[in-house]
Amino acid sequence: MSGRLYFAFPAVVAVIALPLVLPFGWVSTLGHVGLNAIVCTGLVLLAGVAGITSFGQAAFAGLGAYTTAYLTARMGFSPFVTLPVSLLVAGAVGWVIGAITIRLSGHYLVLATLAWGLSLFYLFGSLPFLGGFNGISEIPSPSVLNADLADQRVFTMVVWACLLVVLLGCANMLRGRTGRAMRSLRFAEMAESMGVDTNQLKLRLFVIAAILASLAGWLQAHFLTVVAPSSFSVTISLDYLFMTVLGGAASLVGAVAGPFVFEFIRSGLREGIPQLLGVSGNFELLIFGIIMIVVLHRARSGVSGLVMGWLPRSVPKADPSAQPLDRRRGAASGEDFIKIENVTKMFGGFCAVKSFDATIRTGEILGLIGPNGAGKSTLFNLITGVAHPTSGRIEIRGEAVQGKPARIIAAKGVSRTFQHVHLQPDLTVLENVALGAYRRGRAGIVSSVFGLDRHEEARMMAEAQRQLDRVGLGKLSGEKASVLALGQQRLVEIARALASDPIALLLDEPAAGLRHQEREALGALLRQLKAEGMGILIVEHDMNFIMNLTDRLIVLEFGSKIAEGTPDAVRADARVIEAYLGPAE
Amino acid sequence: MPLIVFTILAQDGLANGLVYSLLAVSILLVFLVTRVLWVAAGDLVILSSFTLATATRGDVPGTVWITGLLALAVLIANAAKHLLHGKEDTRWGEHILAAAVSAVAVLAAIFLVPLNPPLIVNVLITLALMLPIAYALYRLAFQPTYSASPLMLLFVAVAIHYAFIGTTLLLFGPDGYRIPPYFPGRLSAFSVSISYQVLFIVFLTIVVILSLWLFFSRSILGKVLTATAVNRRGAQLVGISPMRGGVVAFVISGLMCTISGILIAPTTTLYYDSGFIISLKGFIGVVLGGMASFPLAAIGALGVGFVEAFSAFYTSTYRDVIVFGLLIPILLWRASMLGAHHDEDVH
Repeated sequence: MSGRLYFAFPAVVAVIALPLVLPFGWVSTLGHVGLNAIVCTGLVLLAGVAGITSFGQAAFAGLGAYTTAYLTARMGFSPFVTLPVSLLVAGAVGWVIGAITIRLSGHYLVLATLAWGLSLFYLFGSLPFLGGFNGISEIPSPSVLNADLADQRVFTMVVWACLLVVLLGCANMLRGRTGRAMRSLRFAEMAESMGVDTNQLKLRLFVIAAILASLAGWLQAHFLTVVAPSSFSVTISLDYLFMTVLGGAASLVGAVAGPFVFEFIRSGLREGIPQLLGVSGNFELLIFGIIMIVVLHRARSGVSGLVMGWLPRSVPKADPSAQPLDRRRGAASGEDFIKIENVTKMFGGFCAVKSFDATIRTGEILGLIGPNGAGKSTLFNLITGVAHPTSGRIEIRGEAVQGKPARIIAAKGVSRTFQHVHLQPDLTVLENVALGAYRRGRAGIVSSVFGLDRHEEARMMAEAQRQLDRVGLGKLSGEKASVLALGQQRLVEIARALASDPIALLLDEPAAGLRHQEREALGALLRQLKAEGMGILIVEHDMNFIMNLTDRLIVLEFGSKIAEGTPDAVRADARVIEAYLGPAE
Repeated sequence: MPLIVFTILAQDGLANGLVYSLLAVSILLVFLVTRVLWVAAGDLVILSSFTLATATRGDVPGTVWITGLLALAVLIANAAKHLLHGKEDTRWGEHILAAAVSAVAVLAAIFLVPLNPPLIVNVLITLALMLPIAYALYRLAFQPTYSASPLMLLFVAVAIHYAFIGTTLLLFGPDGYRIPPYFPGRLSAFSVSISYQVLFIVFLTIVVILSLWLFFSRSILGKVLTATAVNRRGAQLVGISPMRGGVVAFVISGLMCTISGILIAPTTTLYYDSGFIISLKGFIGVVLGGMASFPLAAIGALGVGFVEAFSAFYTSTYRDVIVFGLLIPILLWRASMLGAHHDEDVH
């Protein structure tokens, strides 16, 4: 993603210089496109990255615009002072609104953004000190060295310079450690299992998008020198959303392409239709709606989706000379690491796991088998914090963890793979594995934005490459995760789990979809990990594989443990034979 | 508050609230069956009331263009699909029926309306013009995307909303429409007077709700819809096409929106772009019903009508802030009741 952007930046720089040579009418269009692109960048972060659709971005632009309008026109502050205030106000309001609503799921969140978008719009129009529906006028425009922001050319250049800074910052942010976690937000269960606090990251993106919108609002207020509520209505928010969809929400390129195409279509319709039909009328919205429907039917990934294939793609590479990441103090082999005591899980009246006890020790491979529906996956989810037991106790090193979220359990050294592979399909294999090392890094948004995380990034990438080599997929590190075969994807998941430097590794059917040789290699890897002192819990259907690999086996049937012991003892157990083969005649 | 003011406000709230609740039920129906947040429902309400208002003045409503062109578009789209991809389309009967209804409606509107027929004829013409529109919208815009993510479906709905605003403005102009009440006069009893118009709205809403209930509990088509709404995948597995449910849901919702438009036409002055706000008031009801329960959605939307009427009295400037601000605590409350399990991905 970032490589494509570096490719696009010279174009943006050229656009900044364009107002000096373009005819006046074009300069004004260019300025508006740039202004919209700033808001759309925030929407790409929200809709494309975090999977949140906001119908309220115009309201945040309004907060920025009204804050500066009130402070400069009514209170006499300088516009330079009010810029940070505008951004802060929008950021703070965004934080409060986000903290309240961001946990809502799916349609509820969409409707919530509509609700506060509308409420803020009506507040702008009805608060008496904001000038009602006439708004605030005579806003001073800041000027430096005879360059006045109310001047069209100056405004357009300033807007595009701001856009350039915003795009660079966002591209840097998305590239780094926190950025990888952000790009995994749409796969929340997986991200949480890698130690990512998804709600908190979503909230941060929400605040960033609000601040970007308010920057656009501030610029607009001082350029137009008036603000009125109609510029910040939900209709305008819808325009922003459409621009983003047109451009393609999956990439920052779309945030710039969308407003261009939108403006092109709109002005084309405004001027072209009356000429074409010889009648003037409001065909604009009608035809615009129809074009949008066609785009949504035919090109769902927008303009950038069409263009992306042509642009060069930069693939993060690992530098093997990077200093290795710090490792967790390993546990002594044979330690009781996870203890499960009397755990029961009810789904309504159905008992999925009944009074279950088990211990996962370091330096040992424990197998969990049982017929379909025996409760293996439920148990897996209970241990990893994805689901919480109805009763009973789960301890990690003597500390009770039942009811704790998945990321807390991950932080204690428990890493897992998923029965249904959970990889971020748009990231490379290497980046996916690096996500596993998320908890071992520290770089946050700010250090990524300013490029201060290079050193740590190199260490993380090197670690990811090391783990990929270990599972035998080192050569595939630059591929997109989605192009791999299912068996390879399972191995990537194991590499990702290993990148977190776990004490216990929980594998959910890792051998499914693997060929014979791959299976042998996996077995060898797991034995080696065991020798290094790792505790491994493995759920598997392949009896040959599991009988040869495990030190201990637990057999589940209808949620209850029916046998536990060495593979040979379990194989001879009468109840196990009955569970698998039916009662003896 | 004096009793007389109270009764006036209560009647206002009741009249608008019942219309909102019809809308809420129709939005919820579409949502449950197709996962579309049908934000253009309010635009259908506006179109319906403008159609009737124009017809009662003896003018041919511009709606004939929409009905006619959409019917033509469905036929062309299907013919093209048939010729280009050779797809076996078994629904030709349905398309031809829709085209026939459209044709009759358009002809009736052009030739009957200028003769100033009785109100009931105009109402029937309005219904006949509106229903094929709902049908065509599903066939043209939503059927090709029925497997898309809910977010894409929402965008399509918003695009249709745009197209509707544009069309309505084009055909009816920027002026507001309002028609005289169907039943003027008031019923006075116990020092309280109720307008016949409100009583009529109450009566008609009850009729609509009862027939919906009968439809869902008695007819096979209703059961098909219920099955699709409860579990799409499950319904598909027993051989119910989700598109079958989708088209029925859209037509029924179109019917309810049209009735809402007819009911609201005499009580409120409407403009070409009032539809979105009306939809949203329906949505508040839908959310109150947890996006699942029809009775709760209807009662919730009724409540919106009352809140609106009374907040307009106390603080008219903040009326809309109050109505939409209410949505946030309601969302939080409903979402918290659902817990973490209802995770419908929207991307």
